[in-house]
Amino acid sequence: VTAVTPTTSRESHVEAEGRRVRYVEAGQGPNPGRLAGVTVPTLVVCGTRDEGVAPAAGRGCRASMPNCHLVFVYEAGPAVGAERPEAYAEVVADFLDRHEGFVVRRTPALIHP
Amino acid sequence: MKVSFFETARYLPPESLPPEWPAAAGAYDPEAGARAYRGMIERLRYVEELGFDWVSVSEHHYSPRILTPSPIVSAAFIAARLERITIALLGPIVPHSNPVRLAEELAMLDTLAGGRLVVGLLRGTANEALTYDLNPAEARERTDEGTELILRAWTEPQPFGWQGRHFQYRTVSIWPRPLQQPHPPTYALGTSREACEFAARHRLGCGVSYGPFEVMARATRYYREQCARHGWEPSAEHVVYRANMLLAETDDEAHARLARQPDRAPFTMRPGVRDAVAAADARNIAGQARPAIVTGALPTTFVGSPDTVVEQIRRCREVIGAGVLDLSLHPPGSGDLEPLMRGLELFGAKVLPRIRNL
Repeated sequence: VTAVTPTTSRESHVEAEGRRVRYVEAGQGPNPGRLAGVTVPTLVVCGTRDEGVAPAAGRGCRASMPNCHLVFVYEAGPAVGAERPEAYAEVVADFLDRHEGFVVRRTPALIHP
Repeated sequence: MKVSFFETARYLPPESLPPEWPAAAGAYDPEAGARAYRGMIERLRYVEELGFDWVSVSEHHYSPRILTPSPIVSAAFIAARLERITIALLGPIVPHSNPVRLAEELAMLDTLAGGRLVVGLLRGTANEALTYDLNPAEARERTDEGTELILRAWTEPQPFGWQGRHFQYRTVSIWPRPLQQPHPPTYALGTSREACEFAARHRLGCGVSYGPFEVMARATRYYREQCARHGWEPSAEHVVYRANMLLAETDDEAHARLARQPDRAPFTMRPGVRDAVAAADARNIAGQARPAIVTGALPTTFVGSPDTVVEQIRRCREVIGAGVLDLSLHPPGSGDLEPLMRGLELFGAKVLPRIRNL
């Protein structure tokens, strides 16, 4: 499972991506005690076709970390970014841009002004 | 063998109404509509008394033929008035719906109905794409994705976002969840390779309709093969077959009545519209292409006396492997109730008791 934390300064997305933190490695469950102290807004991304530990780990993060968001990327396996690059980049970039505000839809639905 | 009654509300349109889809809404008679829905409940009380296992409702729009644009509303109304019968939604059209809303409403409905819900999720007939401006070319993909999202919304314990191809939500966490855990018995309806594969991968049932046994068996065989590939074996009850039945005291009478039925489909699209829809829509049976739009009347699979029909049902069980029959005992579009009620009575007395143990 991949956890992404936003930058607090105005770094570029590329630099922010470089600071990606892996809290949970394959074969290990999340450590709720340690995660509870992570208050930085965090995005956890998981593929719907990931049959490993990632979905459970993602849920653990969502449950333990006070400012964590869990997003499933449809039809991606463990390598989310490689399998659904556009979908992955959109949600990660949006989160890095707007932090928790990324839950509020901002793209217009207006058809004909 | 379980038996389901396909309830279509039986609204009788005036004969002057042009038989095209969409039918002109101005021709709708509110009083006749109210009578049709009252009649639906009276009929279903009888259906329940006869011992049918399920009543099924479907989603169709813009014509009097099947007056149930919202199967959720139909099901809620039926659940409140009937005590025992299982209510099968066969089913909500997923690609033009909001899947999260569907997940919520189905969970609520299952709870209100005391866990008497069966859910079939489907792509819908070709014309239904026009109902809410759905691109027919995207319908298959939207059905699969929407169904997967519904399953996840029913079962995911933590709030989640969905980054799909056709659907995107940042916040999903539905209340209530279904009474039946993890979720109501669910079928992916359709004969296509994609529908069969989807059902097998998600351990769902498979529903096929109207076609001849051998043709439908191609789909159900393919479904069973795919289930084996995914490491499980479906039961007979995982396969539903919807069909028309014309039951009479004798074979001769049944065939004579069949000969009097209209041979073209009611409420069809104008040719230019139909051709445009057909060109944008692609259908198959276990991978073999089939026309997207049926222009003739739907076939009547089971025809004859009780003895003949019992034998036909036995063959259906063997060939298709269906454990649930979803029946119209009279063409769905007909508001002529007398033959329907006679068919029901005869079915309850002379067929139902003999197919229970098939």
